[in-house]
Amino acid sequence: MISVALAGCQTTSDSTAVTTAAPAATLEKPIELNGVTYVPSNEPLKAGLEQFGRQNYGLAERYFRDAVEKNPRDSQAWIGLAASYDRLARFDFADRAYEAAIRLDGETVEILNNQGYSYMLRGNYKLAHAKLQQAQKKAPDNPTVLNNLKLLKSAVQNAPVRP
Amino acid sequence: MMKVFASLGFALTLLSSAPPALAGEYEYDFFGLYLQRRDGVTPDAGNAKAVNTVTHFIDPWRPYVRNRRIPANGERMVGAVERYRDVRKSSGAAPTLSHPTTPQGGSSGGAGAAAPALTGQ
Repeated sequence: MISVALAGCQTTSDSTAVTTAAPAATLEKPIELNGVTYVPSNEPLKAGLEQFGRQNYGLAERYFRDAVEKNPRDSQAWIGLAASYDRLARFDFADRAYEAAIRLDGETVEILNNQGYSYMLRGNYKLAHAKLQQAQKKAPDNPTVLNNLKLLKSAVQNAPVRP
Repeated sequence: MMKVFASLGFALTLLSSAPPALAGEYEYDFFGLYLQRRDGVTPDAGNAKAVNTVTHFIDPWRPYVRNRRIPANGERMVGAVERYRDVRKSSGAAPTLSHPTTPQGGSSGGAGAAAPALTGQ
């Protein structure tokens, strides 16, 4: 099991970077044989997670898309794809990917949190608040959700006033 | 051309003369565990192009990509598979010849060389 953080990187009140929404991706373990470690290198999900971590969201999207095409029932790949689309400002595709992930896993805390962050990126603070509240109801002590709620609060306060 | 080689040599000299302590201080993971066998110059190569692609594409999946009901002529496909498995069923197939050293014709005998037997006709 490799747990890799997927969605946005926020800053907490004490200025330490915290990554949001860390779905635990189930990946194949490296094989030890005669003292040599064999690592499967052809899994797009791994490459997608790696590229997302490097903030190469274009490449991450490509690999996650490849992953969902090869295994459409892989919810982690769908979440990664949605997070990549969020970062690339293709929110129309992000919504579709989130829907696919919800169909597989239901509305988990990670998905709700990511959706809230996604709406925050779009400037839809009302919906972002609703999604993050839903996430907080499911996991009241989740630091990622709490950080995102704080971030949302500061975003609302600093939002430009529309004429 | 010589100029290019000269400048390349100079650059290599500069690189090789870098202090060894620099390698320890610079902890950027160029070769991540799962990207060791990439064919790009760097693991990040191609990101800008990929971002542009995502920005501009209309839809990565056309509406019909999930359609697995593709009409076809089943009879023709079955025939093709059967001919693939047994090439002798094909009308244009060359006749299969028996080995020339095997005795032909049986006990009736007869003068003259026996023609190669055609099998599977």
